[in-house]
Amino acid sequence: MRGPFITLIVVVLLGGILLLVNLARTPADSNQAAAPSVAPVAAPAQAPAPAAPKAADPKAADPKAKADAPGSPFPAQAKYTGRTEGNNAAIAITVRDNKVSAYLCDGKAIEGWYKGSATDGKLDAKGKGSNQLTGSVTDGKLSGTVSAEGRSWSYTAAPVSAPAGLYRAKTPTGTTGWVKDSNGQVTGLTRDGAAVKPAPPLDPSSAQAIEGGD
Amino acid sequence: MSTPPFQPPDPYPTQQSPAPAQPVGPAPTSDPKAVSILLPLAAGCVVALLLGVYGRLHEPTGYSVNLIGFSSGAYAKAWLATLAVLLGVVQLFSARIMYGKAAAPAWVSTLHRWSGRIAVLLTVPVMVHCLFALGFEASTPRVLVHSLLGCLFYGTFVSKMLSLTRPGLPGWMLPVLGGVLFSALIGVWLTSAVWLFDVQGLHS
Repeated sequence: MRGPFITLIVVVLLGGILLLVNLARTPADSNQAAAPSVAPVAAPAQAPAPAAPKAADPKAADPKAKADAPGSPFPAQAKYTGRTEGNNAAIAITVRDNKVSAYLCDGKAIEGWYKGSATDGKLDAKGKGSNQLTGSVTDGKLSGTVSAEGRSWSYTAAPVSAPAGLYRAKTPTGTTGWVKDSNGQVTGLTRDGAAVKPAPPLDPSSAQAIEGGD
Repeated sequence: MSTPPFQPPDPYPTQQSPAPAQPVGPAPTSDPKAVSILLPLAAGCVVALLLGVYGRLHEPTGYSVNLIGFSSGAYAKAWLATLAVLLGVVQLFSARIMYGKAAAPAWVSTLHRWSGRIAVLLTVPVMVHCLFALGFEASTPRVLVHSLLGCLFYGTFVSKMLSLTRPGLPGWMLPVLGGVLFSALIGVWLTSAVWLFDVQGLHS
């Protein structure tokens, strides 16, 4: 009757090993291969030379590269979508020339807009009241914390390309935000003053695609 | 035990007439059957509790080492869990044959054993990701049920593995543990993988 013990031990070992691998990789390590699908998205046109994050000479000839803070892992222009911990809400974060615009939305009751900056690899943005958004890029993925309605969540977001991203429409009956993720799933809400109501379907022809700073 | 010769060990001594406050049941410490039942259950409870406490105390990282070939960690988990559920169904039917009236062929218990092992091993990366990246969550009924059932699943698994090694097991013990295990797995799967497929679409 040793079989069950062996089963148990193998399961514990596998779990332990996976946990250790996770623990070992938790500090920002740089050599994890980014998912191939996300790599080409990062700023295809803006950064011709300094694709390598650790460019030896920060004063590269390209003025655009100089505008980026040296060593900043944020591309000159990028869009990220992701979810908060527990998959409660969608978030879209857009970066352009170190300016950040972002939107958090659970599609039901919680939503918030954020504006700020992304310098030296740190994203810092503020929303209404005490709403705040922070983050940093690891292995091409953005992660950090976001707060709204007095609560705060951790989130992760991956680079995406159009038509995924962040959309906004302002009408007399309120401002609508939509997060469209890489799977095409859309999460949106309309805010009219203090009231929040379900968003109409996203119409790309009337909604504005938001870039960093918009 | 110093029992006199020719006297069988008596687990229910009647001499102690000054009765304790509680009605006297079978003395649990000396009953091998009770040990066989309680020990694995206690171990399972400890494991379930430890998992839950770890999930609650560990600061969720929001990410974990991902598996290649899937659009996201969530989908890798969902498909691993779905495979485990399919194997869980194999478990259910092979157990049904093993506990049926007719004698089960030998390969059925082999199938039961190995489908179970593979099913649990498939769930381990999912569990580690859940514990490490997300943690024990109670923010919505779905994630609360999922968290509780996840702890129950591994606690029951430990109980069942330990029970298998115990002598003098009552006949209902393994079916009950197996039933709880299967139900917990289905519940965990419904509150995660099926939910994800429903919300974000059925793809890899």
